[in-house]
Amino acid sequence: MIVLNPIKVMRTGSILPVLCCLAFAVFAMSALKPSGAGAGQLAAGPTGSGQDVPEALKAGYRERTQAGRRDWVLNSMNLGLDALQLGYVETAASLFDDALLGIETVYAHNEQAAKARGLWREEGSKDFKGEPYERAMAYYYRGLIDLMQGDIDNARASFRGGALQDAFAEEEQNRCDFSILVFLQGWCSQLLGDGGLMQPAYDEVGLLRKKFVTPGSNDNVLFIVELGTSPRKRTDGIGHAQLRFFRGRNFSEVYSEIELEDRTLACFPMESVFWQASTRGARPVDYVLEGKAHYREKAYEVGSAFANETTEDYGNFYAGSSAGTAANALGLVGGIFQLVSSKVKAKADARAWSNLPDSVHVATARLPEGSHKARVLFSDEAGIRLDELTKTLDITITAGSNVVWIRSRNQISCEPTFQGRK
Amino acid sequence: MVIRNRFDLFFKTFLVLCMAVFVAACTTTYRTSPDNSPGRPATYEDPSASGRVQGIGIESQDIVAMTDKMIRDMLSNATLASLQKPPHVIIDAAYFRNEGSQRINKNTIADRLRVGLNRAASGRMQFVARHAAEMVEHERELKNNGAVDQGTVPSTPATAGADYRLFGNIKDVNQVDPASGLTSRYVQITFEMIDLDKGFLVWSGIYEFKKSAQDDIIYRDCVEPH
Repeated sequence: MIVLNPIKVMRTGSILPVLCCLAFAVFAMSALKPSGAGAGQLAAGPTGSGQDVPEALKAGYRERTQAGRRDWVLNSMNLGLDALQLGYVETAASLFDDALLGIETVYAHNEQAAKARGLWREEGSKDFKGEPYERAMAYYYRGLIDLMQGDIDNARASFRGGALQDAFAEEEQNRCDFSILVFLQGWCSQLLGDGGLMQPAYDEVGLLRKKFVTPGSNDNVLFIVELGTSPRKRTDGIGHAQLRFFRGRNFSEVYSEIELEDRTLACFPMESVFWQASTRGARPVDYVLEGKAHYREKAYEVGSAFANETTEDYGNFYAGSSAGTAANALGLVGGIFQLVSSKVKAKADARAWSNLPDSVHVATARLPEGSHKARVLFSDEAGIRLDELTKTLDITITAGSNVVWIRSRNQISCEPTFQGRK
Repeated sequence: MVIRNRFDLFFKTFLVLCMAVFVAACTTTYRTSPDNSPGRPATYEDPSASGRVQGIGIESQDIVAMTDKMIRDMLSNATLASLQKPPHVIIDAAYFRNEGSQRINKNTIADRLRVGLNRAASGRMQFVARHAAEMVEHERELKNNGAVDQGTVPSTPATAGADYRLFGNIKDVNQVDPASGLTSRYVQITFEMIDLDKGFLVWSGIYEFKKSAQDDIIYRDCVEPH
């Protein structure tokens, strides 16, 4: 980044020390950078020894340990959802517990957080907690697992916790609008016979989703259908200081229905995860990043002025004289300003939970206890059936809580073929 | 002149080296400084005091404080603890509801309450372990079938019924200050003992607290005034 005219510098006779200095600076910088893996091992998280880990998840566990505390929550989220998709419910529960522990940690007087605010580090150097939609979805999955395991009390607590995460952050008009979490609170209250808590929850969903129909009072099975791929985060603007959200790619399914033995249930589009991601308000840290980007820009401008003006205007004229030497020294200072500006880290944190769905649909039904067959059908915006996504299910209905969780496409983040992180 | 040029050369070289080292030091990225502290050996902490890690939810000191308070309160209740014939009481989490926003193992509360009461009551109450009913029934079945002998205590026709049972719930109210990102949680935990025959509430207790915390600015989500 240093802008020096080598011919002019050579004329002053100071090329050798300058080159030596640059070589020394490069050496010093490279010497101070350890490999990523080494750094991660030092910062390995509190648990996750990898013992009794299902074979399919071993690579993910290894990655989580190597990446360390900074990405602990993120990797726990990804891996937890991997485990759930692969049917390792207990493992998924433990991984989401890890994620929630990180989310609920209060980062006050925290050294890492303070450093991430500094000029020389990206926002992404902080320990990942996720954007509100990601945190809310972590509670959603933990609650789903509780529901699957029949712990309805704690399921409801998880959904309430998720709704709280959403309420933290959204723009005023969108506060606490994560309707799937509100609906699930209502469903849990229905299962528990808490009419006093059930009805307000369903009423709230009715306000958020106009076409919502309250589940039948005798319904005993909840179908949760997840469609599409995860919203993506990208950085934009000066110094990549702005965070932008984009819809997930490589999917076209937007409708779903469930074909039971005697009827077909149209699934209700309860939540758009992408909408939740993209309607967040500005974060305080956005202003910090904006300030960094501004500093970076100004430092570069000042550096450019020094480096270009002094060498262009005075270097030739006073070449070989002491004035020429001074001009080149100023040019060097300008170059250092530019180097400093190039090292100001204004980039926003674009780490994202990569195997989330695009949307969540729900349906409820009353089914007699015992075994049932069902098919889940998906179709695109034009209503054209996507047969390759059709899922056939064998459902066993019991006297307790019955949850059937289906995804239009499995997204196992720890598999080498997974495209979601690109 | 030569000496002056050499001095200039060394001075400039020294100056630039210093600056280069300074810049190099400034340019280290987050990857260069992981938490490479030697760690902290496991140490005992007082569960009744605020620990090194704190949040705004129910923590160990809350469980200890609330159960201690409830034990003292129950033991001073004439209906429960001063009867000539010790009442049969069930204390477990079966009817203890979590209506709050924090996942919690309710047994941590119910078990401490039962154990504490059992030890402090010194026979003034008798505790029916309904949570272990299956285990008891299995043993009785073995005895009745003659698979094992009757033990040292004469058998009764049935296991004990209860006179009173604990129920209660956990509720909370959460608030977020949009200007500062300050989050606060008010938690209310109620305990009640019900007469299982007549339905009277013979004892009630409440424990409540409010906590607040604020994340570092880089973790705050709310919109701050610009």
